[in-house]
Formats: sequence, C-alpha cells, structure tokens
Amino acid sequence: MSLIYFKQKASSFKEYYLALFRLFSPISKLQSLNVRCSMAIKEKHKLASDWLDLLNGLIPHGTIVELPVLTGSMVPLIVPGNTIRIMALSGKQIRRGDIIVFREGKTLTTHRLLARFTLGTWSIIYQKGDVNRLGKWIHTGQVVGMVVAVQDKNGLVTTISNRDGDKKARNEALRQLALACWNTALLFPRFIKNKFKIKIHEFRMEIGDSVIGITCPTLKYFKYLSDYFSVRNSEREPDITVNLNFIHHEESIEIPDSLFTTKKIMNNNFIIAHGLVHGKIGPEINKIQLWVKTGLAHGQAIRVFEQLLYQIFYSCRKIKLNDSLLIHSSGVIYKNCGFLFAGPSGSGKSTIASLSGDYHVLNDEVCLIEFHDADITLHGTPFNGYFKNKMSGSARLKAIFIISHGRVNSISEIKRSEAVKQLAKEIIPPVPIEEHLNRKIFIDMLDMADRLYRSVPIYKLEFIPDSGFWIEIDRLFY
Amino acid sequence: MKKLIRLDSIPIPVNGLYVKELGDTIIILSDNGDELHSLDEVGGFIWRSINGSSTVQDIIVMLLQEYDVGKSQAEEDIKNFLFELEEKKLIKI
Repeated sequence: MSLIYFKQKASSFKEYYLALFRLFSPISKLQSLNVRCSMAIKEKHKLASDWLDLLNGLIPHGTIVELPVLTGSMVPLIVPGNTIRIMALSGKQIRRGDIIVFREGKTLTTHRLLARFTLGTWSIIYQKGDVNRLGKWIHTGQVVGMVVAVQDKNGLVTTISNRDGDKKARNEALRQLALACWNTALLFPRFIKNKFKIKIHEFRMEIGDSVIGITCPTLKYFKYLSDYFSVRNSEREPDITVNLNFIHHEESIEIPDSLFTTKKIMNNNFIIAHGLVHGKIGPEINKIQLWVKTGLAHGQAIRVFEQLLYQIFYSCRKIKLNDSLLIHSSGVIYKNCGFLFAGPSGSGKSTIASLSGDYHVLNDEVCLIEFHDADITLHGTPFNGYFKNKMSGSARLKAIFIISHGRVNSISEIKRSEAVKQLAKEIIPPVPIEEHLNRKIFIDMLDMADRLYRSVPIYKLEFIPDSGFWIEIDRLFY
Repeated sequence: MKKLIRLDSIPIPVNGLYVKELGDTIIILSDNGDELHSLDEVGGFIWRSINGSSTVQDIIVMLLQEYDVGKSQAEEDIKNFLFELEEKKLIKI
C-alpha cells in the first residue's frame, strides 16, 4: 500500500501522482513541487510536505501525521480512500502485529510486521500486506512510523494499536506469518520443477515426424490421456507444446460434431463451440494454452476432443513446413508395404482392421500420409477407432482403396474425379488450431487428394466380412 | 417459374470460383466454399464453352459439332443446364 500526498480519487489521480513522483523525487525539487501545487488548496501543501517529511524522517518521533491511502494491500483493515494516522517513530519501537510504515526507495508503504530478526545492532523485519501472498524482509532502519488509527470516508475513526497488549493484532500477525510460510512452501515444488525441468505430467505424442508435448494439470488426467492415446513417450523434443487445463462444470454440455466449424479467433485467442474450448497461442508460436471443459474429455466425447489434436498437429505441420495429411482411414502394413483403406464411417474401416489381424495394423480411424521427394509414407497415429491392437510403425504407401461393403470381394478401377472426391472427403481438413476453416482449405484438400491420385494407385474395394479381400490384393500386386 | 434463357444471351462464370479439372470431370467450388459441384463429361464441355464471349446459340452449335444429338434436344438440355448453373450461382446470364 502506497501513501499519496493528495487526497483524491485513486483511479483518476494515480497517473498524475506517478508522473509527479518521477518529476519530484529528488528532494531538492521540493520548491518546484510547491510552486506547481500553488494552484491547489493549502491542504495539499500540507499533505505533500508531511509525506516528504515522513519519508525523510524529519517528523519528530511521537508526532502524528495524517495521510490518505492509495492501494489495497491491507484490505479489509485499510481500504483505499481511507486516511491513516501515522505516528512517527524509529524501527526499534515497533513490535510484531504493528501496522508499520516504511520507505522503500522513494515510496512509503504500509504493511503488517510479522517477524523480526536481530543480530547485535543489525536488525531486519519481515513485513507483508494482509492480502499479499508473500512478504519481504526489510531493514529495520527503513521504518518511519506506525499506523495508530484509520479514518474512513464517513469520518469514523478506528484505533489500531497493540501497545496495550492487543492480542488480536499479534494473533493476526502470527496467522499472516503462517500464511506466508505456507505460500513459500507452495513455491518450493514449482522451484524444484523449474530448476530441474521435470515436467511431471507431460507426455509426448509422436505423429510421424512431429512431436506434440502435452502437459496435463493432474496425474489423473495424465494417466487417463496417455493411456487413451497409448503414448509411448517420445525421446525427441516437442515441436509444439500444449498446456492443457480442464474446467469443471456443473451443467450438462452439448458436444458438437465438429470442433472445426465452431471456432472463433481473436488475435492470439480462440474459442471453440461457444466456450467448450478456450485457447491461446503464445508467447511463442509453438506454445498453446488450452482450457477445456471436462465434459469434452470423457466418454464418447473424447472422440471429438481428438479433433483438437488434429488441429494442433496441423499447427505443428505448419511450423515444420511438413508435407503431410491426416486421413480417416484404416492403415495396414502387408509385406512391408503400406495399404490404406479410406471411406466414410460405416464403410468398414474397423472391419478391415479386425480382418487384418495377421498383419501389422497401424490404425483403423486416422492415418498419416507424409509426402517425401521420392515416395509417400504411411504412418500410424495415436488416434483411436475401435480396433484395440493397433501398432506403431510406417511403410511406403503402396495403394489406396476406397472401401465399401459388398456382396463379393472385388477390386475395381476408379475414375480420377471419383477417387479425388471420395478421398478429399476423408482428408481431415488441414486447419491449424490458430486458423479458421475456409474455402482455401477445401481447395487444399482437393489438391492433396488429386496429388495422391497421381502418385499412388487408387482402387475401389468392395468386400465381404472375411479376410478374402487380401487374396484379391495379393493377386493384384504380387 | 423458370426464367427464360434467350439464345443470344451470353453466360459468364461468376468471379471467385475454384475450378479443377480432373480428367474429363470438372469440380467447381462455390465462392463461399459451401458447395462442391461436379460436372460430367458433357457438363464439362459446356462449362469450357462458357468463356464470356460465346452466346447460348454458339454453345449449342459447338455441342452439335462434338456430340451426336438432335438440335432441339441439345437446345433443351443446354437451357436446362445453364438454368441450373445460374441457380447454383456459378454463372450469370
């Protein structure tokens, strides 16, 4: 709490006060201060000079001066706008529990004295504002006075003193001291964590070439999410880090189908689905803060939650300038080659995966395709479908099948336009989390699909629920 | 009520369309990105003829040269097709 030398509304006056302060902090300029203030009423002169006298220890000990209060570090005892009566005294005369006034540079501050440490003539005290989390050690010599009374706006005067054995004030000092100790103790784990850079609840999700570091608020969420995404912690440094926070809520919430279309962006902030998710990018481009309502992380809703990760992946891809895409599909490595089975939900992606149990199933929901100079690789992802035994890995992409349930197993040619349209629909829109879904994204999706068509053979696969379709594939390629 | 399409009017593609040719098929993404249209071979042929200078009559003549179809049939089909394109806000007539 700083004292001001004019009694005026804090909000309007604060800046003026600060400006004045910068101008007149050297005492030799007192004269010019008085000249400047000559337009104002006499009381102001008195306040200003009392304030400066107190600061410089010119007030005889035992004398009481009245000064207004600007800030609220001693609320509720002293409220901004109150006038306090300060008895000028030396640091030796104060005791635990006293509300002391001390100087710190060119300011006067009013806080509570919590503890004192003396070694010969050298003495320091620990002081803290009642609302502050932590206090500070100062030299006893900095003390210029002690608050004896507070006068509120209505003129009501409350005496504050523990001279006569006021136990209440001393107890309050002990309570505040305990609080400060507790707060200091709380800082300790954070200190150690920062010191040794241990991110206890961080897991690193590898999606192809990209690594997303996700920091969870609690061990519970850490376990839940890293289990759900069956994360094997990557040893690589994250390309992007996400600080995940969960917001608990009482009300039931509506989970939208898409976290792509309901995004609103303002500068570095974004809101998805009317506040279901809040986010902030920064301070660096690869740092994301997320606040997610807990409802989105549980039960079936976590499938929608995954859409956040898709977008974060695309942010990562943008930073790394990667040439890749996520696609709704089932991916299987067969004879060291990647085969991709794409189709809308219900077309049989999970069925394909479960019928391919003899081979290396990467994923039955979302796969990653990376374009390299010479070839195209297919990767698994941590995202989840219904197939439980997915494996990580990657392989050169050999062929893509647009799948549908049929009456026999059959593979047929597909027209370019048909293939592009079908594939484009299954590509997860390449929208970084900090961008809107827009028309250009659709164009990108069509271009990507066409690029796949030109690089990899694409067929139409109708299948019946038995693994016989692999015989057809084998016949086609081997 | 169907708007009458006159033979001497000139259809013009609207601005801001994304048009992608995939073999004999043409994909058109509307200006606001909400709708994706796909034109088949004949549709694509007519679309390519809409160049801002050909009249409806010209397009009919071009179609007759390319495809084996009766004149009245071609006229009827083209008018319907152009009407549909205009309705979907892909061209202005």
